[in-house]
Amino acid sequence: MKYFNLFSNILVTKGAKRILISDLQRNSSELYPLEFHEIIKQLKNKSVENILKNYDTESISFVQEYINLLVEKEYGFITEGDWDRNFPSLNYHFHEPNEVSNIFIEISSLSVLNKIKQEVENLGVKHLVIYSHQKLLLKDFQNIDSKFKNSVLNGIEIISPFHDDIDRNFIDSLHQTVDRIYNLVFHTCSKIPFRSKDIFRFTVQFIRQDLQISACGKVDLKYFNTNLPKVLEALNHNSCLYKKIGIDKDGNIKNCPLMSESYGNIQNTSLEEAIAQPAFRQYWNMNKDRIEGCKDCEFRYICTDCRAYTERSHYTSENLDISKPLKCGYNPYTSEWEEWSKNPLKQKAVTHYKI
Amino acid sequence: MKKMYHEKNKLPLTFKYIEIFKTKNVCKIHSNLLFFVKSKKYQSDYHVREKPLKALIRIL
Repeated sequence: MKYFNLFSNILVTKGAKRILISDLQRNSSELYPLEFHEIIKQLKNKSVENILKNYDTESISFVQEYINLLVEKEYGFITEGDWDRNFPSLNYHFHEPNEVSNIFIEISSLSVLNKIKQEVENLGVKHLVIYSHQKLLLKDFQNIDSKFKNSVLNGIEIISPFHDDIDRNFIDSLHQTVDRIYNLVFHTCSKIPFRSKDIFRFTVQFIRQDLQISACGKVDLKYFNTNLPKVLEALNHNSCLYKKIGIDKDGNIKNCPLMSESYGNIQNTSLEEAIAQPAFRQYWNMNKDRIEGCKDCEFRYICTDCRAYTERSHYTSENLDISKPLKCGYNPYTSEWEEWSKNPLKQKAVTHYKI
Repeated sequence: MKKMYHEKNKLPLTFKYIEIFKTKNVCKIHSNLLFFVKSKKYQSDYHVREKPLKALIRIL
């Protein structure tokens, strides 16, 4: 008798119409028909021969083809006599040692960063994302980076409007002088100054359109990530809001700068005090299994959620929003992507958010 | 990237298609890297400088 052993790092996510097989070691995901799920499930409890027995003669070659595919793709291996018991399933527990993993801050002036500097240290924040309404000069970027010199931050990302001083020399100077910045986005570019190659210690993006902060929350294949920590977080927690702090342009401390609920202002409340409030953490454990639509989606553990813009159609008894993200155009029941903003069922929410 | 696997004949199983999409190792920035920065609190000159493992903002 032959037995198929699925590797522990292979995660199978069942959707309404198809399945996603994620290889958490090779960081790739592949889509397959739903019937494949049934075969994978049976292979856990039955020998290959016993499974083949359940199918009619014509179907056997197809089942065999599926099993061959599992071996070819190195999702697992075949053993004789019994399953190899040396491959116990993976523990899906997620542990994030830092109290806060990232801060998304909307700023009109750099001085606000002084207010949060010490708290970034206290909370062990890993990443800081800055959306600046103001055009930033070379010294402003250097100033931001130097504010967090010797800090606990692993990286800084800045989105700011483009201006005419930004050229190759400007970026070259930044490359020489900044440490923690890993991504720069310049929007409202009247012209693209140069084609950015991988020669700087950060990535640079020049965008022609005027990027409003309200454009955030998009759900798209390009934002899907297959890697173990990201997937484990999504299995256990909200993939966007867990251990995130948002600060809007008025200094209000929120789960995300685009959400309406505020838990204090940085002028009189510390970030520690804000996150200590139970209400601040109310969405932290809301994973995709609880969200309408997403719970039947095969992409649910590689996708990143959005609670700032939703379809506003489903709420729990505690008034927690469990509606599908507004800016998701994927329908797991048809397996089709469509332009979310043209969906007639989303128009009411689009009007509400004024986007 | 999309491979089409058409049905060979009328069968209950529909081996329709396989769609593969690889995600980049998002942490890795690129070759011209500065791998480490200094951190006072962690008392280290080798504090890892890295991108987050997920897209923290999805704005583009």
